[in-house]
Amino acid sequence: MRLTVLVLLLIFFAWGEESSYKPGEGVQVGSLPLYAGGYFSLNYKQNETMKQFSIDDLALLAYGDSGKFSYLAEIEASDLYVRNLQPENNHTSDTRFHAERLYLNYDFNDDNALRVGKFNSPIGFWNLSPINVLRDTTSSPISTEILFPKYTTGVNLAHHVYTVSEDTINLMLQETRDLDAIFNSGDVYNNFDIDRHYGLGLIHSEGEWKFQFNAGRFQTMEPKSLYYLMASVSYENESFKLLSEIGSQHDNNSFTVPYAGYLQGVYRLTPQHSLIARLEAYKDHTLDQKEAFGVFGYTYRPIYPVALKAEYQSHSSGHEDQFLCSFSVLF
Amino acid sequence: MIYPTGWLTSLRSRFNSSLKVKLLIALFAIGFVPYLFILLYTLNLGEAKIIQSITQTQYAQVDKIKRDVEQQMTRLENEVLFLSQLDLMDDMIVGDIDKRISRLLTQKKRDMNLDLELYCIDPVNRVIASSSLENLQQPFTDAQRVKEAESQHHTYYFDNETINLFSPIHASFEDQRFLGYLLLTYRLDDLNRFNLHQNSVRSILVNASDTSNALQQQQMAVLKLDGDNGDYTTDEEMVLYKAVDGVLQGWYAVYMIKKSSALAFLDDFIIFLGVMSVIGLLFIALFSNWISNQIVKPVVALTTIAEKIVITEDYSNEVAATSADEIGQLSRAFNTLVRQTDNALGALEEENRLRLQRFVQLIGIFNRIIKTQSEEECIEITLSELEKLISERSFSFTRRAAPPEMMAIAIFTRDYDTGERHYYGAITLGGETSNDEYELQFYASIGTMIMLQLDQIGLVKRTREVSKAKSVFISHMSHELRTPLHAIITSSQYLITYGTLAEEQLPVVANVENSAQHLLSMINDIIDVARLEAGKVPVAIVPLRLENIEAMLLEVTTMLEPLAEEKEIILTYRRESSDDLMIESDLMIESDLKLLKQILINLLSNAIKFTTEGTIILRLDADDQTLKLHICDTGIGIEADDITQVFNDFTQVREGNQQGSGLGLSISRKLARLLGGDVTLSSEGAGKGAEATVTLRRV
Amino acid sequence: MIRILLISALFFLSLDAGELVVIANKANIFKDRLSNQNISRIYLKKKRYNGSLKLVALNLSASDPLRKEFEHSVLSMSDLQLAAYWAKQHYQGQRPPLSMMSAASVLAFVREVEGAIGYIPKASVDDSVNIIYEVKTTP
Repeated sequence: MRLTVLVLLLIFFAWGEESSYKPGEGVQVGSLPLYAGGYFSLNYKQNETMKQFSIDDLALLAYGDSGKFSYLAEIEASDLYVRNLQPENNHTSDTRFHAERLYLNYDFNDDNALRVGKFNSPIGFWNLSPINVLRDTTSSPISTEILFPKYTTGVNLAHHVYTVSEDTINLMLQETRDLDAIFNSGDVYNNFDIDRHYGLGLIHSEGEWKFQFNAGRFQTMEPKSLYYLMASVSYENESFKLLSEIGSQHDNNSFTVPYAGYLQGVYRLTPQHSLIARLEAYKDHTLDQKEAFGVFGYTYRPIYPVALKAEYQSHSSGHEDQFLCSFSVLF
Repeated sequence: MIYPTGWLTSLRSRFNSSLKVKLLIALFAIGFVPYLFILLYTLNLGEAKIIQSITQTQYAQVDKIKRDVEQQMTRLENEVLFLSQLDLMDDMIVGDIDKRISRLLTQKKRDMNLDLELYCIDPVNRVIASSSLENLQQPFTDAQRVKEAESQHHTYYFDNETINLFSPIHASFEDQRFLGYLLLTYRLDDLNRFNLHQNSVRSILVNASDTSNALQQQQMAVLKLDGDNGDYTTDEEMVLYKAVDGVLQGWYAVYMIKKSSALAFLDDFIIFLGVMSVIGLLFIALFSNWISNQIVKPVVALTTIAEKIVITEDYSNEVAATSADEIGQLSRAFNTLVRQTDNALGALEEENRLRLQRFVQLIGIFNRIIKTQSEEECIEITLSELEKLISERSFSFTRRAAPPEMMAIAIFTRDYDTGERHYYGAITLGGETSNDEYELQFYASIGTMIMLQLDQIGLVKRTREVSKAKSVFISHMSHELRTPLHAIITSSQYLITYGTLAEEQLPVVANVENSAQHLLSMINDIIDVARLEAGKVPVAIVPLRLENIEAMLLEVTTMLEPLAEEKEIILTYRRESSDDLMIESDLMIESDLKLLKQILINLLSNAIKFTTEGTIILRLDADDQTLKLHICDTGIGIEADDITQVFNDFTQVREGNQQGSGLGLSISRKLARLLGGDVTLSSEGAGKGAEATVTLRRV
Repeated sequence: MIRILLISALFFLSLDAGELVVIANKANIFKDRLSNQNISRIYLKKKRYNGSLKLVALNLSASDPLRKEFEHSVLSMSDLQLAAYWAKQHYQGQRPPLSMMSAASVLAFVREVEGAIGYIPKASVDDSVNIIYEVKTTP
């Protein structure tokens, strides 16, 4: 809780000290080119068997640039405080901060950039903004959770081609374990426990359309080699946005996830209010689950970096319907 | 020096005589010496602690001022740094056309509410932005000083009364392009806000290295600052100082507190200790007194009871022993002792009583033994008395030798003829043989007693026998002598009267006759004595009236008158007739008139015999009990010492021409006693006459 | 101060909305003529270099109607889309362009800084800068 106070103080400090501050853009601190920011979210989750409050995703990030170099560091406490109301009334707290991201970026020029460290794998639409406040819904589609390593600790080489369209090629290489010591000590919470990842990403963006294709191989600590494949498409204009992604995962012998995908529509009633509907389906051999469900949500953003969201998940299998709502802030 | 000596002596004697005073002094000493020691120790320690604490407190004050100042300067430094690094400073590029920097600086100055100004200086030393608009576009004159400070890696420089903090401004783009300086000018006077200005406490900030300022110099001359921090005391003040770090290096925070104020607590502490010592002294004194009283109280009670017991000899007094301590034990022991003494005394008294009783019994035994008349009675009485006295034993008497296994009291009697002792018999004691020395001694003395009594009985018997034999012999011999004497007398008288004797023969025969007569009277006297002693004098007691007695008296007087006339002595009878002497006519006695007459004849004869001239008066008087006959003469008299002797047989005090047997008085007394009266003799001395008195009891 | 602001605001409002130009420092020579898309990429910081010169895009203040017009015409993005974009960029460690209060300061800035690019009303432009793009406004 101390950290919450700290963060709130930081927000206050930021607002109070610098007139040029805008929420969601961070604040410049220190004698170096350094910007500090953070985010947090307060969640409520209810289904047939449980009611739960939680503060997760409390994070602090710092970044800056100097010449062609730039860097970013983020520490995050996940599930900082979880209060269960059902089935049992108890609470847990985990005040450990993880090294969520830490990387150095070098721009050779406008077209080529090299990134070294731990970073979000540039796969799909959701993984580059994997925090609650930046998402359309409180929940993320299942396809963005189970197919590929969300974080890569290693090197990413990006090549941009700007013509009428914008094309980007990302090459991810990981030949080591995760950078976060807590993660490596067995507390696996937001990623596969891997020590190898080779991935390729292609992004084609033209006007209101955006296409993305990703493929890759990663190796878990078991060790087990897994291959993933993912295709994404989105269309966006001022009043609505359509997204769809589909992917699968395969090991050396067979499909581990034959398919996982969704189709989502976001309709913006006003700049502050949005309605979201999403259909998801997946089949997971590892977990031996196959499901299709609908997500219906509503999001209110008084300003963009502050979001109040509610969603209802209607599952085909019945009993797993759930209600989620959250309050999240980026600062 | 007399008074104190006396006082000391009395104190010493009090000390020596009173346990309480000793205890009191001991307790007081035990209580007060450590207390005093602790107080002194506390005083010593407390003083050091308080001074240390005061110093620490004051140091904390100095430190607070120092830290406040440092914080203030650090805050300003940080502020300068922070402002200089804002993206907004990019507006320096365009000379703050939009006045955003100036607005920010103005806002900042207002927020900080300090006596300061903020400036942004561009590389050509123009004031681009400022917290006060009038400075805008003015040339910056201290650019050289900024450069100097920067070359010394300083971010500040001092001006006359200000400190100027600066920080270079770099653009957020184009590789940190240099845009100028942000400068903060702060008036040092403003630091006074951190100084204390109170009556007893004040503080100042001085720059030890600045010699240009007159006021500073003046202050530095008074102060003795050395090192990073320190303290010293002047006559009036305690001075503490600390060097200020950071921007204001070379400055000191100096804190001065009036001694009276700083050490007020110490003074209070000393007064407190003083009061405490007095209270403690009183308390310890009272407590010691109470304790010693408590300790001594039972002892005093013990002493009082003991004294009371000594005075009253009442052993029933007891000390109340309530406590379980040594005094309580002593009291209980004392009570036990008193009880035991009481018991012992009681037992002793009882024993004494018993012993006395025994003694009385023993005397009784002896008395009864002494009274016994015969040997058999003596033995019998002894046996019965012994059995009464010692019931646990049986006593018996044997004439034979006692059996050797039995305890026995052997009895011997003395043969007075031979002087030898003969075995008489033994009293055997039944029961167990005893080895008790005292018991044996008791039986031995009983034996001795019996033997003495037996000897006495024997002696008395023997003496009686001897006396009886002597009387018989004298009586017989007198009778035998009287017969020839009568013959001699008769013959002599015949010769004188009827003989034919020559003139010259007559006095010889008369002498024979006189001698014979004298011898006869002597023999008669001896016979009388013998008869009296043998109890052979017949006594015929009859009642006699006064006239009978007087008649007898006249007869006797008449009878002896011729004898008196021969010696020309006047013999008279006189009846006492004075007023206070009432001789009643009905006066009566019971007596033998014949024997009474003989007594009077004897006494009158004696009086005539021992009187050569003068008078002899026979006088009668009486009182309620007795009738007295007095025979007074004017004769030779008798010494007082000799009076008792003259009543013995055959005793005459002085030999003279008056011949006599010497038995006259003895016979008279014996006769008088036979009649229940007595004869006494009195004389005022030799040559002064004598008076014999016959006393007879009236009926 | 406020008066100056008001006057300048009135001044800009009175201008014809069609006269918006993008200017660059004299030293900042682009090989090709810049398209709307290129300008957009610069302002979204997707394109940050001109050769080896790091570009410094300048915005007017958020409430400035010229900025609104610029964003609408050149970037073709709504406020919401821009806010979402910059929020995501902030998460990824990217800052939005600097913003200046006035066209005058933009002009001055561009004049002073080699990589600077700004947009100002065409009437405010002088010879000290190059016009690299004329915004075709949509009424």
